[in-house]
Amino acid sequence: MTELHYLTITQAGKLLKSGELSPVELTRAFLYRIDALDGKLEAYITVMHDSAMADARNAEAEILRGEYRGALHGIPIALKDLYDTKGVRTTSSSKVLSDRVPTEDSTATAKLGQAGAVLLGKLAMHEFALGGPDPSNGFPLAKNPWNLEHIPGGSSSGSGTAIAAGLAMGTLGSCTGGSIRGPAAFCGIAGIKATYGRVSRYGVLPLSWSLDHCGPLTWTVEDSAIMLQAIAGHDPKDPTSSRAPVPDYMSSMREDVKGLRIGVPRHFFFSEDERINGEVKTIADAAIKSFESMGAIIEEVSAPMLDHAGASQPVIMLSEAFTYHRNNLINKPELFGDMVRDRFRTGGLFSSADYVQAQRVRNVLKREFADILKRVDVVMSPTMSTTAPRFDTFTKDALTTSRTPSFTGPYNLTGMPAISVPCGFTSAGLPVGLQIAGKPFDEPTVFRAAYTYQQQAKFYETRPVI
Amino acid sequence: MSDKTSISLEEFATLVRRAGMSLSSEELEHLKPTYEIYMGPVEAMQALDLDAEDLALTYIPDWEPKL
Repeated sequence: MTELHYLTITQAGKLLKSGELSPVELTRAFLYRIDALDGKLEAYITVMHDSAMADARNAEAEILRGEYRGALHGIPIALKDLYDTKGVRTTSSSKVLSDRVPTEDSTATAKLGQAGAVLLGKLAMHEFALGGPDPSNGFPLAKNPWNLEHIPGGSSSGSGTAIAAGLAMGTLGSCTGGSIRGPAAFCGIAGIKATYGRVSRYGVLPLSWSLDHCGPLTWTVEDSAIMLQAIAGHDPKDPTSSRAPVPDYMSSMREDVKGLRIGVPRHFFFSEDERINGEVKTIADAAIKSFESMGAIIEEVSAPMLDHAGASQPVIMLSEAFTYHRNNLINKPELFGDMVRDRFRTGGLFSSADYVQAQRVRNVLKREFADILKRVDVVMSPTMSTTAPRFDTFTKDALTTSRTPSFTGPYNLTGMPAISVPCGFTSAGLPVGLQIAGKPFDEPTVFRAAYTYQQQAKFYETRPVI
Repeated sequence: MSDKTSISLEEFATLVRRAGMSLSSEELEHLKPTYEIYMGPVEAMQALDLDAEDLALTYIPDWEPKL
């Protein structure tokens, strides 16, 4: 049998349901692995040994009584440290909140608890979901399991590391400009940002109200579907939460893309911009073309406003972030890490006219994609414009990632669902992700395309050597 | 894309003060390159003629009585 820490949620769930595997045994295996490896991987800020074992024992008792709750019952998971957890320190990886202990769970935390998941702990992240791999803030700096000298992406850094290294079966990240899909691509795993409003943001520390999304990172597409199923749905505590019914995502787990219409905005994602990594383009292009042999129809599409997404997204994000953090930035700036302090401060320097124009550009971009999605079912591209940078590039230039085009930010602007699924490795052995975006609330088609590709490409069979 | 990708330290200090922040000259020098990364793209975005295009965000007062 596969080592317990490398079972997928789907595999483990079947064993737990049948009684062949105990949640206690499974949780103990993960805690043991975290204790053994997290010293060098630094995925966790807080490991909840005692409560995790208590949750596992409770799950075991329930399953033995025949009270099986579903696919997450007894499954060890972990949360980015900006999801509120009642009674458990939640820091956002910042000294500003180093002693903060929420009195209530976030809605997503509560839903995972109701599904019977076992919470292993709280995960490392870039400070306030923006800062970068910044040693100055004093929190763990998660490493990329494929090469420890490289970052795992961010801001949901620990969420990516934990999945790729087998330190949790499922994690939650948050995404304002690519913080779920980025770590998924850099860590060779699956990660989905569902449609804006699909998952409640209540109890999740905001970075930018109008761009923030929540979502899971997992080893496989079907595991992401299981996690999303548990956390999706209307929440009256979040004013942006949608009342659209939540479909059964697992019914999308079938290999079927015959007739699927795929749009590729090559003018943006495959441009001659020298900042885009050539190997990434080649690998993602081959992945997209492979859909043709599976019966899909590929066409080139155009969204001219993509050229301005790289201005619109940061202006909106940083302006909203500055508003949220302004008083602390002015009154106790020394508590912020160097990287996030600089970027938040920049958010105070844009004019109101910049912000308004950014929101107008966003509207045009949304309309351009709405038009595209009348002709095609999904839009594909590389997830990231580069591979995972080395840590030392940030020592030389803290703005490393700000200087490269964002391939993920456009879908935070439009609010469309978008997933990253592994599509290959560079010659240096670093993972590359394929981004698949779809129509609002059409996560099922996004999942179906990603699942079909995953089953054909089989990158899930390769684990990092740690 | 606009060529405007830099700003004088004096102009920059004015922007910082207007935002309510009080930074030392070293801090201003340090922060300026971060702001300048965005100057060109923001100038280009502002140069777009979007006519009467609405905001992506719409204010919905939600005053109607709940039935």
